[in-house]
Amino acid sequence: MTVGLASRRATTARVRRSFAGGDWISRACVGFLVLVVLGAVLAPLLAPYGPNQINLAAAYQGLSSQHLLGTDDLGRDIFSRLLYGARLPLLGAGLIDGIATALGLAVATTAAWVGGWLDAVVSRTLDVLFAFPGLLLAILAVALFGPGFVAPVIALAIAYTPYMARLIRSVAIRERSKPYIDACSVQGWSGAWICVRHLLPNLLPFVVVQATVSFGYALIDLASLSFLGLGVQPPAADWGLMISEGEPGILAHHPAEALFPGLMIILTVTALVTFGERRGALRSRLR
Amino acid sequence: MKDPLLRLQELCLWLPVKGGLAPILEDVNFTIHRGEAFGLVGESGSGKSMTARCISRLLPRGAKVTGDVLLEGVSTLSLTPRDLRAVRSSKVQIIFQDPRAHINPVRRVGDYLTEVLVTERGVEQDVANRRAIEILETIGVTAASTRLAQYPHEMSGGLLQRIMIAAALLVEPELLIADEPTTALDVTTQADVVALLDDMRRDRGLALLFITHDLELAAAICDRTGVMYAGTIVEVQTSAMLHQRPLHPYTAALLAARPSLTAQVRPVTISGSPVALADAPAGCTFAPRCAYQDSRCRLERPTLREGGVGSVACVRAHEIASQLAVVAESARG
Amino acid sequence: MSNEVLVVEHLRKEFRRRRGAPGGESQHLIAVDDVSFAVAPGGALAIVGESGSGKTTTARMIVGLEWPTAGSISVAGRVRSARRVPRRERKLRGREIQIVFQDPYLSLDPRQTVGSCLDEVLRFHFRWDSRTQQQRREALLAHVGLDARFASRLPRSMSGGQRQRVAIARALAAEPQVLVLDEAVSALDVSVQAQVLNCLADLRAETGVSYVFISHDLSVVRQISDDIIVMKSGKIAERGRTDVVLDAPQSDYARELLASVPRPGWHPRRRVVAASATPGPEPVG
Repeated sequence: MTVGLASRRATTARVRRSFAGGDWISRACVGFLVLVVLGAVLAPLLAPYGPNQINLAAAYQGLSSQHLLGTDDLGRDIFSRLLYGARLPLLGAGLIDGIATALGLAVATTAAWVGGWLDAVVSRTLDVLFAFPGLLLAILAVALFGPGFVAPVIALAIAYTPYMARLIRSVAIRERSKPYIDACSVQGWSGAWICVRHLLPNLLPFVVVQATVSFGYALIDLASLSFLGLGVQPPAADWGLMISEGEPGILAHHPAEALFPGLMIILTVTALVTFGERRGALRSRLR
Repeated sequence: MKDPLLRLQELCLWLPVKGGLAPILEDVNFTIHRGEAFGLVGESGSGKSMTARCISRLLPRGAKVTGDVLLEGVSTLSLTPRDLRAVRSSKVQIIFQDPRAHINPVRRVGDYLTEVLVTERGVEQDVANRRAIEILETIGVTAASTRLAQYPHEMSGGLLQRIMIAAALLVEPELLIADEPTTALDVTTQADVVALLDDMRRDRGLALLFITHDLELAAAICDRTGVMYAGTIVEVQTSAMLHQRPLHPYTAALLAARPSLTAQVRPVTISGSPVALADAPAGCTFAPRCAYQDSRCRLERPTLREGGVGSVACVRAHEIASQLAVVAESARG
Repeated sequence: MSNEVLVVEHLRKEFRRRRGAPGGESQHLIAVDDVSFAVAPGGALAIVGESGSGKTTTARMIVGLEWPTAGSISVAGRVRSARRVPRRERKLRGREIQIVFQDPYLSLDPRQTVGSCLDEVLRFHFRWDSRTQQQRREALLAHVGLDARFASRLPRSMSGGQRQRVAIARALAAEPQVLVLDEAVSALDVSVQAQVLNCLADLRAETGVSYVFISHDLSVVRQISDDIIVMKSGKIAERGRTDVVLDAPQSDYARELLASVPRPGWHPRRRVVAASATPGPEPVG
């Protein structure tokens, strides 16, 4: 069934309207994420207390006007720690996502363009790497290089690369087989030129959607490592770390320290994945 | 005069797009009698495929339909889901353009062929299999029993199209709708499949609704042909007369635009491109591209009117009839 | 013989498909088998056939998208021998022969405006100042019957016929000597097809470019070409001047093709050998 001009025009109108904001759920997710990022960046201005301002006299206080979300066992303000504690997870997940996407894009595009034996070798290698659990790789890295920020981030970035590369490769192969790419070859342009000027820009919408969703997964993995004590060490403010430090608080009927960071992780990841999936669904409807 | 098998009455269709409903079909009227072959011809945006979907109610959610589709006097638009299933499994069958998109690739061809018989009609599987093999042999598919066990990816496009026809015929429908069944096929396979449809139709007394963009193909096996433009029918005539004395300027233009097989004659072009109803101007939808348009044409949309030999939706039909006949004559080379 | 703009000699293309597990028997598929032809400057050759005939593979080999297993191709008098070539040679090849594909909806980069698409080609092949380049771009659009305003439009706002015209303009921007059209009008509506065919005929008359027109539609082929080659299963079944072959075909296959074309007074007849398909995957077309 041929798609007439009318439905194509209607589709174009749909695209324009969604770039302006889309449905209310997407807009809500974006709004929430913007708030989280602003909270992390402007923490020094917004936080009423320092992240490590210890005040043993005020330990385990409930919600009050002095301490919006209460205090932990050392009397530190949870709201302030929540703001400061967003920085490392967001930065870390961003680095993991950014590195994995960049590397994955490079590997996938090259494999898709060259094809043949190179593609076969790359695919099999990616399949093997993909089977290796990222978290395990991160734990190994920490065992070798010690806990902190750098080792887990690099390890997870390496673990996420095959995942991104596999996803991007299948789209790259599909795009590469389209006639407009062949037309570029016949013009006489080099493979590098065609990949950068024509292939990559058309992969970008898909890559952006995947990167958004992967950011969420990276956030969870990084927080899990911190929770296990393998990421940043105390007294740093970090959501994952706060959850594990808050465990004794739960038993002492003061769950705030563990609860609020946990909630923030859930909400942030949900917002990321929901927004990413909705953008992806929109894109595939246009194809 | 016997009641027609299918009658479309002032059928209008809107489909949901962002921001509301877009008009797709407007005032579609035609009838098909038992055992008759009716061709529906149009270009993109004409709405011919959507018309077929209206008949069997294969419409997306949110579609709005007014007017009526009467199959043997019963309106299909107001049937309950159960009655609709009964109609789809016994009275009306559709054959589509791309068989690979319409046959489940993970199931065997035999399952596809016998599914309706077994699930809706309660026929035993081996009885259904035997009937399937019979039909395949009538259609001229060799090694029919092995074919039943094969998967769609093991077959060529032409063979798969024949399988789809077999599946439709197994059900013994009253009306067979073929929606561009040969567009994706080679010309020799097309000729074969079309000949097959024609033979089967005559043998079983089926009515056939043949949808295509190819006027000559429709003329080859259809008794009457309707031409659609921008969501409405602009002309209906017997196929022979349509080619000799078209009544509507668009039909004449289509005939003149088709390159000739027998002589190198520059095809005569119509300015602009085909429009869909949603983008059509007020008044006659074809007026902006029409060589015969005058002030009356922009005022109101002409309706399909009986005019002796056939029906046409054009206010100037009588005046330009002889000019159009000349165009058709020179198009024949 | 030496002033032919395209000469193809004993062209052959084999594909190897491995069936079953690696180490199992490989299946040789001969898509193109001993095909030779030549195109004169300003001439138009049609290659006609059905799926599996090898016509598309032949077209792809001529423009360099596939590499022949055997045989030679020479364009504008120069033999194309090496597969991997330096930039200079690639540039030269781009100015010798260009191609327009079948599907207008996939032939253009969806993210590139028409103007930038043409500019990219012009900038690669020529060194003009921006004013001359703009004039050239507008001239190209006018040649294919498109308004200068189309330069700022994206493909998704254009119809199939308009997109195909842009594809033709892009191919002509390189000023090639030969233009290969691989089923370039098959996906277009009849009325739009007529416009594009007339445009192509005018272009050939004005610029002297040669055409290699691949099609399955014999009526279209009659309009656009002077000579014709009929291919079946990778081999040439018949060749000659278009009007001669279409009026009085000599080979059985050409006769069968002609008998299958719908036209006034035509009635389809079922072939004696009814089931034409053998089990197996589709051969490469």
